Amino acid sequence: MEINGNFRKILKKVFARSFLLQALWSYKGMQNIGFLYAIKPVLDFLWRDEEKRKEAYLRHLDFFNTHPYCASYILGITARYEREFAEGIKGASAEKIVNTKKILGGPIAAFGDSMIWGVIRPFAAAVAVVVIFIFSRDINLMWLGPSVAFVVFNFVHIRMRYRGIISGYTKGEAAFGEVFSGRSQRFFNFLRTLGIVIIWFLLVKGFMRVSTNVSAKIAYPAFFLIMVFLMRKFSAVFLFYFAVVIGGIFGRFYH
Amino acid sequence: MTQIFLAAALVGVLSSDTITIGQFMFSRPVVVGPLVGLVFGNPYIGFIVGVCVELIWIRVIPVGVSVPPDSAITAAVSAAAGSYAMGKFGVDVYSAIIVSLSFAIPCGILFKMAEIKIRHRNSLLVDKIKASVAAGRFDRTDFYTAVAVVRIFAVSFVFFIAAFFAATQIPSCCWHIFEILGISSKIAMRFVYILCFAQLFESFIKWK
Repeated sequence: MEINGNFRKILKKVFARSFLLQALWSYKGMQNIGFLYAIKPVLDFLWRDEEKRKEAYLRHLDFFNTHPYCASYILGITARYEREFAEGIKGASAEKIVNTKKILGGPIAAFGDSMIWGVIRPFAAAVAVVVIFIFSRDINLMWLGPSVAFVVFNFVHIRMRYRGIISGYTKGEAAFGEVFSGRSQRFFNFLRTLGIVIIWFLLVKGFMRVSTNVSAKIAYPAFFLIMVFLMRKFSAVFLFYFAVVIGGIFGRFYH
Repeated sequence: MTQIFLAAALVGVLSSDTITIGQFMFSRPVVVGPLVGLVFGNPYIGFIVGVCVELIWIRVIPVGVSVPPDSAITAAVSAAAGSYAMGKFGVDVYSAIIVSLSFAIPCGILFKMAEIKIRHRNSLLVDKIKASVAAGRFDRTDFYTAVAVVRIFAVSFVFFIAAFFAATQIPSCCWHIFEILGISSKIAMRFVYILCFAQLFESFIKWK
């Protein structure tokens, strides 16, 4: 579906409002109010009749939840289906709009959780950490760490939000092809591998080289492996206090 | 006092990014820590605290209904408390970091409980908004969304001030615990770093 001048402006409003998708996250409807808030400019534009507008608003107050960034694809598709429904195009219906949201929410959330929270976020953190440690002697250059991480993360984040709305609207459900494509998977796998390389770099540089003590050379990697093993069984908070206690004992007798 | 209010306002703005507005990563500890540290005149401690908090909870992700501990508040309280202790009690940087983190982590968990409470209150709004829409008041969605933004700012602002005040009540002997026990805080800190890197390493492996 083509985007004409007026509708492009409305989709830009949807894009801006999508940043508040989770402002009123609730256990009852999850992101439903946020979704309505984001799609509101489309509904106000398409449904001038008050009764029809009420129906449109109410159908978006059904339960809805997905990954907040990837939700843009669903917003784009919903805007398209709302327009088709408002224009009376054959096959368009309120049920189609509601069902599309319900069907797409789960798979999109799974993708977002594993790729955005599971890869991009730790990758950005790894980049920040490596830059901070490299420039740890110069406080001014240390600011590059959070700055670079911010740019890396938001390049993917904002691009996904904007592109999601535009391709969701223009391509409909075919837009998901670009999300789940092999190219996208390869990109995330590349970041994951690069992340692991960065961690090994940090470990070798940070701990093995600073210590001349043989017991420390053995203790640090051993503790790393113990932590990797234990973190599947214990919470991050418990492990933090455990690390402080073990580090305290080691620091008492081996310095 | 101005410094504390300035830091609290900053935390209020940055904390809104966690869930309410955008999720641009302003609220990540690696950003919040240095900024709060800068307000208290010690960005270095903010960087180290930011890195630690970022990595300790890197594997904890907000899937579905789960609410992770608030890492932005944890980093902010830790950076502020650590800077305060270094200035007032003259403790070394690593002791300040470890003790302030030990205090701030429960604060992050407490804030998570506040967040859960907010989400329960939001559930009541779903019916209110439905009733407003049925009555033809379409602008109520915008109004309640604006209220949510102001509310998270206010909650973070007040929480930070309360937590910082509590941190200032920690006695001097707690900040000097490593010195009193004859422990090298630098070596103890390395174990915290190892935990952080193990978490980061595991986060890349976990999703395979």
